[in-house]
Amino acid sequence: MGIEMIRDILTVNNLDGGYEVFIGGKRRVFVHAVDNVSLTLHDNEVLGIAGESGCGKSTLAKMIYGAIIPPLIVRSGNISLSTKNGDIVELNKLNIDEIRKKIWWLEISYIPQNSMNVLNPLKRIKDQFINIFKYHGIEIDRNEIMKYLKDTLSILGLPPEVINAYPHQLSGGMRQRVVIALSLLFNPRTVLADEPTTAVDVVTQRIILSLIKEWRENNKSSLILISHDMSVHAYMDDRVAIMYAGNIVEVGNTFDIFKEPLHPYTRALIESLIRKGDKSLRKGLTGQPPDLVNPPPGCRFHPRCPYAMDICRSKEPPSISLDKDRYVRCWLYTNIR
Amino acid sequence: MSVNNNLKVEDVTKLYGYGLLGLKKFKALDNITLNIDLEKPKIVVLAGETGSGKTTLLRIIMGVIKPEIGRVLYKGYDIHRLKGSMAKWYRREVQPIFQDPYEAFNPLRRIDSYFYDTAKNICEIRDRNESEYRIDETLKFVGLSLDRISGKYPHEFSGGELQRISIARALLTNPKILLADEPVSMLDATLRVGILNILKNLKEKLNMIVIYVTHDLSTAYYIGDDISIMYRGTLVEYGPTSKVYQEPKHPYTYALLESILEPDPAIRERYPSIKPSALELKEFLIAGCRYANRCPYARDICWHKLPPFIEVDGINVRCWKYLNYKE
Amino acid sequence: MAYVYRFKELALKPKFLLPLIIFISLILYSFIFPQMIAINPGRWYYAPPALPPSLTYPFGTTSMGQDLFLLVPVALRNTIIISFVAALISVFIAWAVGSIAALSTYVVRAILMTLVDIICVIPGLPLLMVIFYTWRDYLTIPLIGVIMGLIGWGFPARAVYAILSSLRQRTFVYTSYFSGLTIYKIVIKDFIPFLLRYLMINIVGTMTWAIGNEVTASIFGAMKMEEATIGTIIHWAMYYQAILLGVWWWLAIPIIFLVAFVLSLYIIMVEIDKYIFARARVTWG
Repeated sequence: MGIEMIRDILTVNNLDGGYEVFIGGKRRVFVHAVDNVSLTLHDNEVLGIAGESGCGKSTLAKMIYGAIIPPLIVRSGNISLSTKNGDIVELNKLNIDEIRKKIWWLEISYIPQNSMNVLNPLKRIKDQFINIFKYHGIEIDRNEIMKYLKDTLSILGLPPEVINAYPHQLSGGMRQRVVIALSLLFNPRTVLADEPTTAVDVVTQRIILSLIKEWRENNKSSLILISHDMSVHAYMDDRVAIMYAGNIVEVGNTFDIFKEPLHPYTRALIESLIRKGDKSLRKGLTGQPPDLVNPPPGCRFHPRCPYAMDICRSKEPPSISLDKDRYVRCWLYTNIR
Repeated sequence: MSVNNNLKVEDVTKLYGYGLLGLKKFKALDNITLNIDLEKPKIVVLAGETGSGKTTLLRIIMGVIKPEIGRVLYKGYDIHRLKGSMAKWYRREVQPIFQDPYEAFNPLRRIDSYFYDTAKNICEIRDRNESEYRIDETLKFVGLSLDRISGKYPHEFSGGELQRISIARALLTNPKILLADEPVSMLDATLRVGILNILKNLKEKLNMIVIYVTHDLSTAYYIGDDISIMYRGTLVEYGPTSKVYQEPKHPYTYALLESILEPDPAIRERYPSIKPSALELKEFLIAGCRYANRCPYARDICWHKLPPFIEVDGINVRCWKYLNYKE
Repeated sequence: MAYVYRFKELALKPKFLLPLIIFISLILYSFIFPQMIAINPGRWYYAPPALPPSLTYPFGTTSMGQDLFLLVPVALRNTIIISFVAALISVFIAWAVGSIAALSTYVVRAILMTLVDIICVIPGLPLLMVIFYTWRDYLTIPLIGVIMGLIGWGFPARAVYAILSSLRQRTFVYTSYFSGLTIYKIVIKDFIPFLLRYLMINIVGTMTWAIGNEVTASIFGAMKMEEATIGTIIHWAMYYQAILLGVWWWLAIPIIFLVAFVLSLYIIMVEIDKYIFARARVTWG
């Protein structure tokens, strides 16, 4: 007895895509924001996607969530989601209305960076909740909703006045907590949090993250956490994927990534982190991330890489599997295989 | 050491209106006092969450906002009463850099126009060659050069470069104080360190004072010599950074430091729980210590009266706990 | 990295060149060509009436014996003058009032904005029609434009006020201040470029508005009917039942020219605006 079957909730296979943009009339330009990305999200785990601005993680998030609306296009690959009743659904093949009705809020929920992307500025908080119920065709007694709201909001540390308030009357941190409550309403099995704490300050960040952590542990759901802040990943993730210029360059267990980063970019990232009580001079990276319209040939990191070899400048490195769930995309590791 | 060689913020209070017609007032800043000795180059951190008033205080020191009560003295002069050439003198002594480098420049103007303007108007350099030389030297200090920025517009630079350009423009006048308003919060982690190291160099190589406003306590620790913690418009604690971090006196500082997440997965279980904040305006209207609603040590007097500063182990703190809750 | 839009690209773009050519041709046709005509095309019965377009009369003739080929340019010229004058006056007042309101104290601002609101609320077209009809004997073409300008500056003034109010609070104003610029210089260097864009577009917008008013007023006869404008031609055409009598060119030709003028002007402005302000657009990356 006791063979642990790690079910994969979400599988991303060789996903490739980006934005088609028209500038000043005719000129068409393709921003190659997601380049051949493969990821798996296991059951009951927190997977982090780390990377700096412009690396494509938000675009990847939109694709995973199924919000594939032009100018965002998927050129190849697929995203498979395993639903509550055991079906496997290919998100990139579904019609956006179907996704809206059957997938969002129910199977997979999205916590955005800016709470005002979810909240209707013209409706009171309680009406926003009531609307979500109505939209999914759930008839529920108003009194029951109010009771549920009062309970949930007090767990989130929000005062009861919030129920009748309009979004602009609350602070950013409070709105973010309301949005979290909304997204967890139907107990989705997957939650996608896209920079959920970037817009709030340190204390609120801690509160929000511990709330998400607690909820996830109680519900045994999975979480994809996207953030540029490595401390957030250190606190929350079981596994973390490092993204640079549209590629996933390294994936592994959080402890391994922080203690022994393999990819040169991950190394530079970990080395630049400032720890409490440490005033020693830290090193950053020179240069800036490449233009995703005209990325450099071969490995996209080679212009800034201290270890770049000839092959790095001409050929894209393959993804090398070093261990279960430990991958690196770097020519330095090809002989080890 | 001359008596007046300092920047003195004296009992500064700033009121903002709210409610219908903005007739009711709340104190965005309450009775702030700060004293910085200009003879010792150092980096002074103003730390606090959003809504703490740190940016407002910085703008008052910049001279662009006037406090309702109190004043700011620079080398003995009330900066809000300066006129004409004296006002220009202050702008030579004190220069700012801002949080969003793309907002700090007009997108329709060339970057170098700002440099030539500063050189001509504040440094009063008439000769074109001399300005170019001076501008180039300053840009080299931040790792750039005049050739690299000539003729270009803000959007042609990356965030990191643009922030360096901001610093270079501010350095052109050889200021004594650099006012830095969250200069790295919009930059990526790998780029932050570069900018922070430049700020450190300003203190070490140019003997400047940097007033660094932030809500990110890790960067504050990295470069700060002294730190002042602000909460809802009041200054609650200040002292040397290492002391404050190791043994915070004010309950808010303690909570703040406990909330910082470390980039170390090994310690994730050790974070204690935290009480969340209430509606902001309510807290601003408390007559006494603004942290009273969230403080585990609060007693009656805390809600009614703001405690005076008291020095404890080399740190100045405003908390009734250390005064035995008695006046 | 950003995509840089070069001037040559703009100049050679068909979307820009075509309207530009049309526009320049129309200007030449309405302003230069009439100088070369000996007679006053507004007079009646100097040509055989109601003739369809032919080689001798490329645009046909009206029922009152006017050669449309000679009449339309004069009419277009007058319409352009009216609308241009209206636009200049309206934009100037809007700029002055809006700027003063945005940059001054609370009391002055409140007074000026109340004034602006009153002007916004006045029903323009009925007022114009009453004025034109009552004082038609004293009207001249430029004066018509001036009167229109004095009535239509309300909404543009609000827009100028809004633009300047928000510009005042932007961070780059502080950078300019710390670069040693005086308030006067900040307005010129930092605010005017943004404002100029709005004002340019507003000139075209007000011209269109003025043309609309002129044509409408003329159709109702509330205009100096002896002068040839596009509106008066249309008025006479409708008065003399042009469509019913099959004299369709009398109505169609002036309308075609009017539309060509407004459309080409509009497209040129849009393209120029896109060019100048491409660099103010934030690109990804």
